[in-house]
Amino acid sequence: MSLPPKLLFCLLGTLALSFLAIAQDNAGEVTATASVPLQAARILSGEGFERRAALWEGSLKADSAKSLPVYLYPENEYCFLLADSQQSESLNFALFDAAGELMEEGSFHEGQNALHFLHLRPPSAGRYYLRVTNGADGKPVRLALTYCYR
Amino acid sequence: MWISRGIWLRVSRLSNRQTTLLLKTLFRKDHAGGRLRPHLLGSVLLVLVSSASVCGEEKTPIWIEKEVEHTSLHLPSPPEIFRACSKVANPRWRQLYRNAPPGTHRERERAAFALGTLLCDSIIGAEARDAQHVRNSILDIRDCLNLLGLAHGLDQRLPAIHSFAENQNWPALRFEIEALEKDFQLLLAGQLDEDLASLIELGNWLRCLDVCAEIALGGKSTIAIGETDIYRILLSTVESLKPAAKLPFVIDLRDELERLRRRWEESTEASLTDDVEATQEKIRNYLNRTLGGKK
Repeated sequence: MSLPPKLLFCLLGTLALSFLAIAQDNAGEVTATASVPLQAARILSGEGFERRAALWEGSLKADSAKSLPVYLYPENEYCFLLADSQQSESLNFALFDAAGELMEEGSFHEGQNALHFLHLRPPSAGRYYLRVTNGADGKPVRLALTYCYR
Repeated sequence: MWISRGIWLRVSRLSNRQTTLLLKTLFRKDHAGGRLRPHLLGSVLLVLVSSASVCGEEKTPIWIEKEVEHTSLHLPSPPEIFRACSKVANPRWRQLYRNAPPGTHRERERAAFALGTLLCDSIIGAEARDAQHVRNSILDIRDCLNLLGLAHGLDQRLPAIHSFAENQNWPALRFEIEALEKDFQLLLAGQLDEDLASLIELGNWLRCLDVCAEIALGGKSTIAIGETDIYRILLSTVESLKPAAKLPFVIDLRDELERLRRRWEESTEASLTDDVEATQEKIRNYLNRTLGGKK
């Protein structure tokens, strides 16, 4: 789960992009949030990652969770990119396998402001659930999530 | 019914044999007086929970289900699968081309399915780093789009696709092709043609499985074709079809996917070679009889 220094360096390079991406008005907020992981994915492509064209956008209230089904392969390495509108520090993740067994949990690697990263290689091929939780002391947030693989 | 994650996990590990034994105990006649004893009551509860877990093997675990967001990230993209394949085998992508593109179909549903297979063909061209093959696939895609009344759907991304193919920017090209599929699905959903959108996805997947089966014949990988969850997800897509569900080629597809799912569920180490060959044959035959043409 540890990020290679070169990759970390690239991820930090997305800070400036995230500043640009956060819109202040609600109408543009979702689109702006969604653009953050896409911008970050462009930078990751320099590290040999390819991005998915698919994207999830949604909202998460305080003290609640959303689980996103994903299908992963152990041959590939994945970097999940999560952007939120509130620059929240209360977002955490947990990864469950198809049977609902906890594989891994913790906090995202923080890019600053709107960006959160999760770098992983699954132990086996199959369905997983990426559970994103917003802590009880968090604010309601708009989220956008996608992933890159290599 | 609410079931805690702890109980669910414990009970989900019961084998079929254990469940059968439990059921036998439960329904055994109680000679002592015909009333359920407390320990049997416990068994009743356990069986109820285990029956939920049997469903759970095929569906989302119950405790997660209430918070699941259904997204298009639930299935990997064909380029993602090909990336995994290329790490365990060394596919010769040009040998995986079709000799002839699928024939022209007047039936819109079949044209949508053919369009999906062509999108996968253009990905295979990108894997083979073959700009000409990508261009040829795009021409065939345009024919299908004309029939579906979606030709304008290609205009926005076409310059980028040609440019990435010319400049051999294969990762960007693969992204554009996946994005193209999403564009078509959005356009079709806007026209209330959700069935056609699903058929594009199914066509893309069938051609992807066709290629994975061919790679698996080398004996190094059963990526995608050997995964029952993939068949389950595709079957649920077929079952979500409404008017198109009655079409013979869709019924045929559902039956083939179900047969493959069952086959791989019962697959063992000893039967692996046979299973791979049978899968390759079934998928290839299905594509030939549905779309015409031979590889």
